[in-house]
Amino acid sequence: MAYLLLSYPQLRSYVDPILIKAFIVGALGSVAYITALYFKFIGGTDENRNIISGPFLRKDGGGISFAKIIWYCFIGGCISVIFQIDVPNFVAIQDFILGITWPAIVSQFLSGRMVYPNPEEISRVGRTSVTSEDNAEWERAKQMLGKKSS
Amino acid sequence: MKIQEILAQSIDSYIENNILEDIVRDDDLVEKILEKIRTTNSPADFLVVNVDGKNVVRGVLTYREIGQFLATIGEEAKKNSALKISETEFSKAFPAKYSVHRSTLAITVLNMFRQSPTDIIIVTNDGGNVYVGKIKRGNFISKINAKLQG
Repeated sequence: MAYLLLSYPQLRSYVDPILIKAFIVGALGSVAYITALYFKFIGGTDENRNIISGPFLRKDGGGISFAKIIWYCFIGGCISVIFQIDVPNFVAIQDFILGITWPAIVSQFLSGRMVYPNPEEISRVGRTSVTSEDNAEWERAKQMLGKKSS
Repeated sequence: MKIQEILAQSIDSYIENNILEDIVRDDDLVEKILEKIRTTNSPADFLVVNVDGKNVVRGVLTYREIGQFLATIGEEAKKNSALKISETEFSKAFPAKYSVHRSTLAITVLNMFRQSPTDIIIVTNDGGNVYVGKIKRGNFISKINAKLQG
């Protein structure tokens, strides 16, 4: 995406510059994560690191797959853009952290670890949205039709 | 039961399937709807579902659209008491806004009630939007509460 925007400047007029920045920073966050993994700053033991870095390796066992890394960084950038859309100002830290931690966010949604409503909230949902004004309007409509309510 | 289990169930047990009380057919007179307005005590209970011969939903009227209905089709019906629903723009003017498929999970309906002002959601089935019943806000929450306590 960044390459396209650099190659075709006319595209920039169609895309909010903040979103472009969010994409770049998010993708950089993903790069930072992979770099930290490569230099063995995360993972603890080699055994753990092998598990974490497994998805980035080529299927034929020939080392790191750059296509997978680009794929990973692209998704990190896209997720940062999604979270940036509703925010009017550019929040670099949020975008960067999202780029680093996006797998955790996705897995949180997939594992269903969402916040369920508590009984109070459920009871609140049960309250009718009909207001006293609605009731008055309803009675007026009935009277207009020629009969009063029973 | 836990709330997670209740909300993960289908909405079958919440459907009120006394559909004959709600449906009007194309050949019915508009007067039938006006009579229903006259005889319904609470606006939250008011529901008219216009269906074709195979009970496929064509339009839905709740108390929220009553003002618009009376100002348009209601006025036409005043001038012509033999006016049929098929002779009006009912289905175009009042399309179904809050509708779920029978296989929907309870959590979706709960979220719809949380986020929208409607008190009634209509339920449809396979075979092209066939009307099978409705879910009322108050009754839905009462049943959830009963399951939580039972």
